[in-house]
Amino acid sequence: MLEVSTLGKFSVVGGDAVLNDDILRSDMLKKLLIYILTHREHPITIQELAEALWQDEETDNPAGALKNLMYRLRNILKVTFGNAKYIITSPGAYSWNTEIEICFDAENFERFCKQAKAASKEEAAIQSYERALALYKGEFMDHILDRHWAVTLSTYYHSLFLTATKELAELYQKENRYQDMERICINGLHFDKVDEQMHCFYIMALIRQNKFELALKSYEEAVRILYDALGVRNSERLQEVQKELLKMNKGTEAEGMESVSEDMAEVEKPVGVYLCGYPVFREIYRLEARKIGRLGEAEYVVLLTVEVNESVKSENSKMKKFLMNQAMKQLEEALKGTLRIGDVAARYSDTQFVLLLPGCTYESSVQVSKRILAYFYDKNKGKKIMIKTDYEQVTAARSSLVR
Amino acid sequence: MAELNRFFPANAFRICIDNIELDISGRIYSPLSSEPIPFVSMSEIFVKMDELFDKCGYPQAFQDKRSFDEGKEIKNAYRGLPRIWRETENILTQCGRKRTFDVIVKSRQNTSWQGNLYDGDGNCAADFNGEVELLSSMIKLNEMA
Repeated sequence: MLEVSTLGKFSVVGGDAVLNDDILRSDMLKKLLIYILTHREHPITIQELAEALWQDEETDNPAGALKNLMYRLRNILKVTFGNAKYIITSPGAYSWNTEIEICFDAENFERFCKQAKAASKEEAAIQSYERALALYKGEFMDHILDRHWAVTLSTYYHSLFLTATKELAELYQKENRYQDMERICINGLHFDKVDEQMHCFYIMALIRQNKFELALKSYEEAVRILYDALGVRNSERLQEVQKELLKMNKGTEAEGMESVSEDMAEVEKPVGVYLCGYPVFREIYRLEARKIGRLGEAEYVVLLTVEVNESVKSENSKMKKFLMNQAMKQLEEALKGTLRIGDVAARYSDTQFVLLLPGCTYESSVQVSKRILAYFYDKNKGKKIMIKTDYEQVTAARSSLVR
Repeated sequence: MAELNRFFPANAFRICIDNIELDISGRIYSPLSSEPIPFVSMSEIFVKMDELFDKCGYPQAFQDKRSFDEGKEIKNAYRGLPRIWRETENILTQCGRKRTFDVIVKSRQNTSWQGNLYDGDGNCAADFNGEVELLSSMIKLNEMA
């Protein structure tokens, strides 16, 4: 029997013998071998093989090239696994010798997923999903995704993997197995950073284990990733998770007021602006809006938007992105260098910062902005970047800037 | 609102209307002033109370007051909670001969007032956003009475 691994690193193992990329040293041979193995239930015509290997007429003589490839493949298989008829030739077609048993990781992965789905008991489903996920070590044939059949299979297995991970996470959640839930979500996010539900499961696992700091950090990271990659903001699922996050308590009983104070105090001595993630900023905003009526204090929100000058817009997008990133870093430095203790700032998007200025009138807010811009332009003397400012009063009514 | 029967916040004031003819006149009592503030028109209520709020810096106006006369511009820096000059019990004993209203100014945004209007019994009659709304709510309440 030959054990074929295609999810992650490619290898074919037969007893002590191993065939991998180092030995094969040819992507074309790998594609040919995998195609034959994934279609081993029937003979494959020369034309079909040629289309699978050479798209867009990359070769003038596909039949001849295929014959050559087949010769090389057969030789390598013989040298590695011993003398046997691995590939059978029939008129106008090739096929895998079905007498040579194959254990294909991708097929087993799919089988376990289906078993889990069909299982009547949760324990059986969990076991099947665990066996399936243990097999998924990476994308299907990630080095040969220039072929449409490989892309189709890769997408299929990837989707199956995400579904299996989320189904298993839900099962773990029902059984209060939050450590396991956390573990599989980390693995899942490693392969797909933009799956919103996966992020939610991960953060919930952390919340249930009272890992507050990590849960908050992961939530902020998830918000940022989903916005950067998909332009998604304020999704319902993440908002639900945020509600859970805000409900969290410390989990352990305090020995006294001193331990509470110690836990809440900042690690470093506070200097200048309080820079935080946007979700925290939003909660601070809401708290401030409530306090206004009681404290009688004026407060403004300022939105700073970084834009490139017209002269740069025509340059390539990589250059534009680089300039934006640089400008955002410098703007953050400007905020740290000019804002006071009590002011709050957060990164709103790739190109924007949002500030909260307590005790400031409109005129004072404008002065503060001018100070920030003066600091920024002093360090950024080129004329390629502009910063736009928008102002809004903090109010308990619906804000157009902070949502 | 029961709260006003127990505690009169610094951003609240009582309007005691003693006469209603072409316009209204009477006295205003505020925790920010030891003396009653007389008024002879509706608009004087707004002007005098706004001046008092500016003097105390509470509630802080969201915009600085501008003037063509340079010397009259007012910078509204936040000065924290103000000193209380008249206690709640003293204010609650005051009543207008004709009508009594209580007003809480929660904020001064857009060079205007936002807050709540209460009847003489301390029941919240209306929220207002702007002096015009406050004025029309007071007129409505007076007509209903």
